[in-house]
Amino acid sequence: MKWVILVAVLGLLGWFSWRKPRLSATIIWSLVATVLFTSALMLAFPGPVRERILWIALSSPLLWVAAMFWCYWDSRPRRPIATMLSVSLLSGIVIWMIPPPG
Amino acid sequence: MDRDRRVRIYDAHSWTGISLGLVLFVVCFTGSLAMFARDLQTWEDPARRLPLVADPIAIDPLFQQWVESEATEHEAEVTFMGMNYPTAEAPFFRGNVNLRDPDGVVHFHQQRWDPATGAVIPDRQDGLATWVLDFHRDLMWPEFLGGRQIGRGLVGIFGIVMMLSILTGIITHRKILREMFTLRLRRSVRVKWKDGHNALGVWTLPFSIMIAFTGAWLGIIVLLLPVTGMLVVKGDSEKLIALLSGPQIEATGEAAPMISLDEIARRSHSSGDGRLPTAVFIQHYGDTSAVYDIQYKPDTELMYSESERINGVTGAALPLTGLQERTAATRTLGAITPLHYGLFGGVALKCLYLALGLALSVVVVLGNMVWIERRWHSAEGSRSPNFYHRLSQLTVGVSMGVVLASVAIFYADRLYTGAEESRIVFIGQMYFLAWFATIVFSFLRSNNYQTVRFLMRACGAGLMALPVFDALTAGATPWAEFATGHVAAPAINATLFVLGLGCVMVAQRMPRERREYLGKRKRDAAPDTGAAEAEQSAGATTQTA
Repeated sequence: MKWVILVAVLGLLGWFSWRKPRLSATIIWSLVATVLFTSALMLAFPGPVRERILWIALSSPLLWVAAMFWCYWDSRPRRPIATMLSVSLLSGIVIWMIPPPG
Repeated sequence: MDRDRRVRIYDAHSWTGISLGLVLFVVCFTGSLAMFARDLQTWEDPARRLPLVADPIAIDPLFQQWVESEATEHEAEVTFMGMNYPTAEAPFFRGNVNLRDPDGVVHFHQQRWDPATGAVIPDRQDGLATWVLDFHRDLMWPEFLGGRQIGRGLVGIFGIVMMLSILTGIITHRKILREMFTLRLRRSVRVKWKDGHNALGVWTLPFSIMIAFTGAWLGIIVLLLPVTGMLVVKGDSEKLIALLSGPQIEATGEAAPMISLDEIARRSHSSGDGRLPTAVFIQHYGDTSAVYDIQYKPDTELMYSESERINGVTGAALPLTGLQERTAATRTLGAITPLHYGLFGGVALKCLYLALGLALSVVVVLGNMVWIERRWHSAEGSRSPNFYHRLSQLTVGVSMGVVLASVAIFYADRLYTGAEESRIVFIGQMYFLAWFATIVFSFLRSNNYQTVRFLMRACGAGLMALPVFDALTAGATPWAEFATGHVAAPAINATLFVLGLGCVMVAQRMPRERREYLGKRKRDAAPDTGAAEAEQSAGATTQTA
C-alpha cells in the first residue's frame, strides 16, 4: 500500500511539474532545493559547526525567496525546475558523502 | 526588462496577493497588536497593577516551600525551576517549576506572590494577551491538525510569500519614487486605491522587508531547522541538540546548600554597571553541580535578555555554552525577536511599529481591492460580476471581522467568570464568533461601502468605550493608576481611545456607495474626471457595490 501511495504521489508530482513547470518549481522544488542546498552548505563549509549552522539557517529564507523569484524571472519555463532538481540532486550527493560533524 | 518578464512578475505579485492576501492581512493586523502583548497583560490582569515595591520580602523560603509542596502533591521529580523578580511590567514574584511524574510526563506549574506581603496572588491563566500574541505567532493551530508548531511554520511560509510579494512589487513598479508622492484622492475608487496601495507600500518598504524577513525566519525555522539538522547529523537529533546547545552539565548526586534566591536578586551584573537580575533559572537544585542562569536586561536593546551562569553552591562563574554564548551569529539570532516585535526603543518606537503595521495591513487589503475592482468593473474580469461581488464581500467580512473580533475579546476577557483553565478557550470562541458574525453580516448586505462604514463605526465605538469599561470593571481610574506609577494600562486605554476615534473619523469620510454611481446622479452638480475616466475604461458597468 505504501508503495502505491508513493508511486501515486511521485506520479502526481511529475505530472504537475510537467504541466506547470513554473508553478511547481515555485511551490515545491524551490523548497526542496533550499532545504537540501542549505544542509549541504552546513556540511561542506569550513569553520565552527554551530556558527555555520546558525548563519546558513539565517540565510535560508532569503535563499528560498530568491529561488521562488527566479522561477518567474527566467524566460525559459523549464530551466528553473531543471536547475532546482539538479541542485537538489547534487546537494543530496554532498549530504550522503560527507560524514556528520562532531 | 522585456514585456513578457514584466507581465510574469506582475502575475506572480497579483497571485501571491489574491491567494494569500487575506491571510497576510490577518497576520499583519494581529502582529500590530501582538507587539503590545506585555502591556496587554497588565491591562487584562488587575494583579499586575500593584505598586512596585522598593524593598520586597524574602522570597526564598516561600518559593522552596511551594516547590516542595508541588513535588509532594504530584509525587514528581523537579527537573527545572525558576524565579521571575518583580519588574515594572510584572510587579510581583513569579515562581516556575517543571515536574516529571512517574510516567515521565513533564508538567509546568507557576505561582505568584505579592512582593510587599508575600501573599499568594490568585492564579490567572492565559487570556487576552496570550491569544493576541499566539494567534499572530501560530494561528492557535489545533492539536488535531498537527499542533502549534505547524501553525508557526505556516505563518513563516506566509512571511516567505510576503517577501516574494514585496520583491515582485518592487520589480513591477517602475516609477517607485513618483508613486511615493502620488495620491489622487478625487479620482475613481480604483485609482485612489491603487495610489494608496503604491504610496503606502513604498513608504513602508524598509519596515515591510524587515518584518517579513524576521517573521518568516521566526516561523519557518521551526519547520526547516529540524529537517535541515536531521540531514546534517543523519537523523541523530541528540547530536544536533548537543551541537547547538553545547555540553550539558550532569548532576553529581551529592547534596549541598544552595545560594538563596534573595541573594541572587541583589547580585548585580559582572560588568559593574549596576544591572539587577530579572529572572533566574535553576538546574539540579540541591546538588553540588547546581547551575543558576541569571537573566539581566541586555546591554544592547537588540537582544531579548543577557545571561550569566554561576554554580548554585559556590557562586563561581561558569562559562556560557551553546546559544547563550555571545558570538556574531547568536547576537544576530538574538536581534530577530526584538526587531520583529519592536522591543528595542520604548513606547515611541512601538507606536511607530503600530502605525507601520496597520499601514502594511492596509497595503495588503488595498491590493486585493484593486485586483477585484479591476476585474469587476472592467472587461479584464473573466468571471461574472456576482463572483467579484462575493469576493468583495468576503474581503470586507474577513478583514473587518478580524478587527472587530480583536476588539470583542477585550470585553470577553474582562467579563469572563468561569474556570481559569478555560479562559483562553472562551476568548477563542468569542474571537471566532465575532469574526464569523462579521463575515455573515457582510454577505447579507449588498452595499460594501455601507457595510465598511457601519463596521468601522462599530469598531470605533467599541474601542472608545473600552477605557470606561476598564475603569468600571477593574475599579481603577486612570489618574489613580498614574498616581501609583503605572503607565501601561492607562497608556493602552489612551491608545484604544485614539484608535477608536480614528475609526469613527475615517468612517465619517467614507463614501456611502460607489462614487461612479453617485457621479451618474450628480454629474451635473459635481463633475468628476476620475469617475469619467473609470467609466470610460470600465464600459457599461451595471453592478453597484
